[in-house]
Amino acid sequence: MITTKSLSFGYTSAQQVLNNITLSMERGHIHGLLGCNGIGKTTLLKLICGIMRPRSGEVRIDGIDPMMRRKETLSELIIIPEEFDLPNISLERYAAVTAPFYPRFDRGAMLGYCEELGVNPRVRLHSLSMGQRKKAYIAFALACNVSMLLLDEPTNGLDIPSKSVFRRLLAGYVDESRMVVISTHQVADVEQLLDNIIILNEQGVMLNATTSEICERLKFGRTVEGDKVIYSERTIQGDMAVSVNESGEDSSLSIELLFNATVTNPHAIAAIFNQK
Amino acid sequence: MQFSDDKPIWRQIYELIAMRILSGEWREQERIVSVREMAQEVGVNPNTVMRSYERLEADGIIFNRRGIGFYVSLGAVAHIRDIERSKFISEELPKLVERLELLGLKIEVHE
Amino acid sequence: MKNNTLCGIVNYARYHYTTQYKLYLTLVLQLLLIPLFFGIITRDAESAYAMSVAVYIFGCFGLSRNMVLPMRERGTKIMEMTLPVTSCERMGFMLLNCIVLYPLTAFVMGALAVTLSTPFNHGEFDLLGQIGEMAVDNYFFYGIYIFIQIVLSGTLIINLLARRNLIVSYLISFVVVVAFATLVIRLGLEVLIRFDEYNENIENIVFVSIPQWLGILIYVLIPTTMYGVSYLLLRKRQVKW
Repeated sequence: MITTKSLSFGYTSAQQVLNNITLSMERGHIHGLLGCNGIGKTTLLKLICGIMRPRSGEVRIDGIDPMMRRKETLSELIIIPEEFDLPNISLERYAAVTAPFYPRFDRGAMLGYCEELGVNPRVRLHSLSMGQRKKAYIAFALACNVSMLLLDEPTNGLDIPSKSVFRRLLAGYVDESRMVVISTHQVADVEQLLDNIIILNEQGVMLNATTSEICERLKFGRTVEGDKVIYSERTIQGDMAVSVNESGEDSSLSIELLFNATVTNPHAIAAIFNQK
Repeated sequence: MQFSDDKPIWRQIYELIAMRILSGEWREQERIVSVREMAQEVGVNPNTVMRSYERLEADGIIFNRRGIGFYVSLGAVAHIRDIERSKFISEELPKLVERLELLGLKIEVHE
Repeated sequence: MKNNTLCGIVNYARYHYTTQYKLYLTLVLQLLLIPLFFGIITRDAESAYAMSVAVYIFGCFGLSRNMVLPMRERGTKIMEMTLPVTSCERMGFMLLNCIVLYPLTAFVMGALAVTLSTPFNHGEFDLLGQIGEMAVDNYFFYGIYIFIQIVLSGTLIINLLARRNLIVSYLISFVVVVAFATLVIRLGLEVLIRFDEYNENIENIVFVSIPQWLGILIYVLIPTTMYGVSYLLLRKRQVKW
């Protein structure tokens, strides 16, 4: 379990990127980390990895401070950054020298993922496009079978069929002992994968709830007479709204609508979910 | 798999499985794919798929053999047909009648 | 536990050499080709030898940069620092490089360069004889080695401290070292002048003969301390951006 307590951070003394972040993320879920540009999603992921010191507060992975850089912690964690540089060697070669750090690495699985994603693991990485390189690294990371996978904008640069493959691979990856954290703006790409939504804003954690909890308390869709509307927007299909779910009906969660609602009407959302 | 936004995803998976049973693709008393495999097939969070399976089990369409997997219940086909029928009569039919009246048409329903 | 750390060092070394292969290859080729080329042009084996020593010294800057680079470069920082490698293992790898592998490679490449350029030169330069002589005249051989260690540990410290621009860091360190040395010399001269006032012989103080073993110890302690400082900086670096 990853927990943070009153976590704050700024790159310079004048700047404040993260403010009072208190949350917990459990295994067995695919968490979505959402927030406006510059709110600090990537910074939070880096703090979880233990490569930066928080200004105040703490981060713990299963009770251990990731900054202690214990092997037990780091060998169970892989982050796929939004942008990264890989040396100009083949993925096979890269995997051969990196896999020893991750005891559960499965070469056969990696080759399988490469085939599904449509990447050749035997060619030098610099001869591939950025999107292909990303797919290659995703294939490697998944094959390491670590219990915590942190992904920063994983679908950026992926072509449409690959996004679908990515969803399927990730769906098959998570189980009770593993967790995945996806930080993204491309909500539509991963909507059906997420089962816990975390939304950050300037005051801290705006929302941290499972999709079931959200659908129990909120209703998404076209407005009906008597609905207590929290947020609505005009779309081609009519007025789509987020309203209080009084009837207990189960509607289709629209993460986009939810996000817009938290931006426009944070107090109402906070009020509904703070009755935990 | 592409999902529509008019129904929760777990519902759509529920219906997908119900359709497979109804069409005979998955036969009664036979084992169906695991939650994990289903999740992998459609690219959906396994917890969501679990919800569909739990609902199907609660509705008596499938049953769980601990340690082995989920099986299609005996009589599931008839059961699904009953559920679909009542759903049609309570939800879709009134809408159809209303539309027919709007268009000035009449319809008779026989059992 | 000991086995684990050793394994860790080997694994990290393999990982590092593979992912940074271009930089290391360049370094090795430089150690070979520059003195070789020089020897061919000047037709003088001794010049080739001198050039190989020069490349040996200048290569230290490149080596230190290579070893620390993945921890500093934007695109590799996160992936490098999230590897399950302890600072101990990283330091172990760096020490392996500095103390054993680099001097060994430099020696082999240098010898190769001088030998290969022999058909082109007219000088009677007997490499093996020269090495034999050097082995007897310990101080020169080990002196160079200790000097290299001082350069390596020093540049390692600078690389670990540097934030963005490495060149700027070197310039700043150069200024600091010069300022420090000036201060020390200034103080030293003050002391000497005082002594002179009391009619002490300056020569006696400057050229006081310290026992050989003490001299060697001091020379060994300097890089060792600097490596120690590097280790502390490395530990700190792992969490400081």
